[in-house]
Amino acid sequence: MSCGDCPICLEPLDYGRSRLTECGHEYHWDCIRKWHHHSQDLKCPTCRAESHFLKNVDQNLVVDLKKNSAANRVISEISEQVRHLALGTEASQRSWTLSTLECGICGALDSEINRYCTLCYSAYHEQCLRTLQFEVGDFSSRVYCCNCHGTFRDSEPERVGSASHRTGRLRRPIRSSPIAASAVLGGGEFEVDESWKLLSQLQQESRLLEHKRQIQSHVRKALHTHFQQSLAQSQSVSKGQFTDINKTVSRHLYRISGNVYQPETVNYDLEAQKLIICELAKIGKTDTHNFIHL
Amino acid sequence: MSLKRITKELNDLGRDPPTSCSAGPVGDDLYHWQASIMGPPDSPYAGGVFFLSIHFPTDYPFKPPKISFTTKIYHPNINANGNICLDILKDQWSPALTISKVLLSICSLLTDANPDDPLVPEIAHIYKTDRAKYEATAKEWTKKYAV
Repeated sequence: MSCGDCPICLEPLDYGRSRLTECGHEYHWDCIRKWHHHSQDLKCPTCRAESHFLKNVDQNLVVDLKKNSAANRVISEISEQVRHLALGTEASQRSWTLSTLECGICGALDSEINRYCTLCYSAYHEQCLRTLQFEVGDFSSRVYCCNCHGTFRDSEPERVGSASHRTGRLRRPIRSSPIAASAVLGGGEFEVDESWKLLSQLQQESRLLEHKRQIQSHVRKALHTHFQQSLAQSQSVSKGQFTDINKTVSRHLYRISGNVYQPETVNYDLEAQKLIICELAKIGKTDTHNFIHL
Repeated sequence: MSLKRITKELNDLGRDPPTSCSAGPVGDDLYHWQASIMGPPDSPYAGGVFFLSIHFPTDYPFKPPKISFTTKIYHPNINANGNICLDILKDQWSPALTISKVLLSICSLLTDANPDDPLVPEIAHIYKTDRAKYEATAKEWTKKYAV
C-alpha cells in the first residue's frame, strides 16, 4: 500500500480525498463516512484519535462530524432502505412486505393480525401479545410492542355507518387510520403503510361478511320457524317470495345494527320475526296470530 | 467493496509476503482463506507451524474477519476450539487493519500472552504461577500437534 492509498479500501486517493483535521489521516470521503456510521463513533481507523472535523480536500469543504453524525446516520439508514426497496424485484418486495405483516410472536400471517407498532412496524396478534405479557407477569390491560416497547396503531378500520358509534359497542377506540398515518410518514414507510392499508381492507371485508353471516342466520332461523307453522296452516309462500323476504329482512337488520353483529343490544330473533310479519303483510300473507307463539 | 479489497490484500500478500506468515484462499471462495504462522523463535512455539482459518464477512473491512486456529495450541488466549481472544478481532477492529497486520498481531500474542484477559483461565493461572511448567506444556503441544 503506497501512502497515496485509502487505508480502508486500499484504492488510490484520486477522488473524494478527505482529511480528518485532528490527526491528518486521509481516506476517501465515502469510506470514512461509512466507517463512522459502522463504528458508531468518530475515531480514526489508523490512530484511533477521535475526530471532530472532516475536510473534503477536493471540494475544500469542512464538515462538523459531531454535529452531523446523528443526522447523517439517520439519512444513510433511510437511503439504504430506499435503495433496498428500489433494487428489489417485485417478488422480493412482496416477501419483504409480507414478512413485516407476520405476527412478531407466532409468525403466522393471517387476517387476524390486529396490532401494528407505529415505531418499529412490527405486527402482532393481540392475543399473542397478551399471552406473552401474562407469561412474563405483566397483568396490565395495556399492550405494547415486545420489540421496541412502542405503542400501537389499531388495525381496526373506520367502521362504515354510525350505528356502532351510537351504541358504543366498539371494542377499541379508533386512534388513527393507516391511511392518515401514511400521509404523515414518508419514504420506505409508505410501502409498509400501503400493505397495511390493504390488509386492513381485507380484514374489514372479511369482518363485514362474518357479521352479515351471523345476522342472516337469525333471519333464516326465524323464517324457518315461521314457515313450518304456516305450512301446518296451509299458508304457502313461493320460493321467490321466500328469498325476497329473506333479503329484505336481512338488509334491514344490517342497517339497524350498523353492519355489526350485536346480539347483546339487538334481539335479532324478535326483530327478524317482526320484519317477516311486515313483509308478509305487504304481500297479503300474514297471520299475526302465528307470531304470538313464536 | 469487500471483494475488491480482499483481492487487493491477496495481491499485496503475494507481492510483499510477511516473513513468518502466509495466507490465501482455500478454494474459489475468496471469502474463505487459510493462513499459517511460524512459531516465533523466542517462544515455546518455535519450530511449529500453526494453521488458521479466516472467514471474511460480506461487509469487510467494516466488520472484522473471523479468524481461528485449526492447529491445537497451548496458550492462555486461545481455547480448544481455536478461538482467539484478541481485541483487534472484536471491538478494537479497524478497517485500516489488514490480514497481514492481524497475523503479525497474532504472532506477537504467541510471544507475549495476555494472562490478565484469558480465554482459558487454567492456562493463564499456570502461566502466572509456574512459567516453566507453562513453557514445557506449550513446547510439548507444539511438538505433538504443530511439527
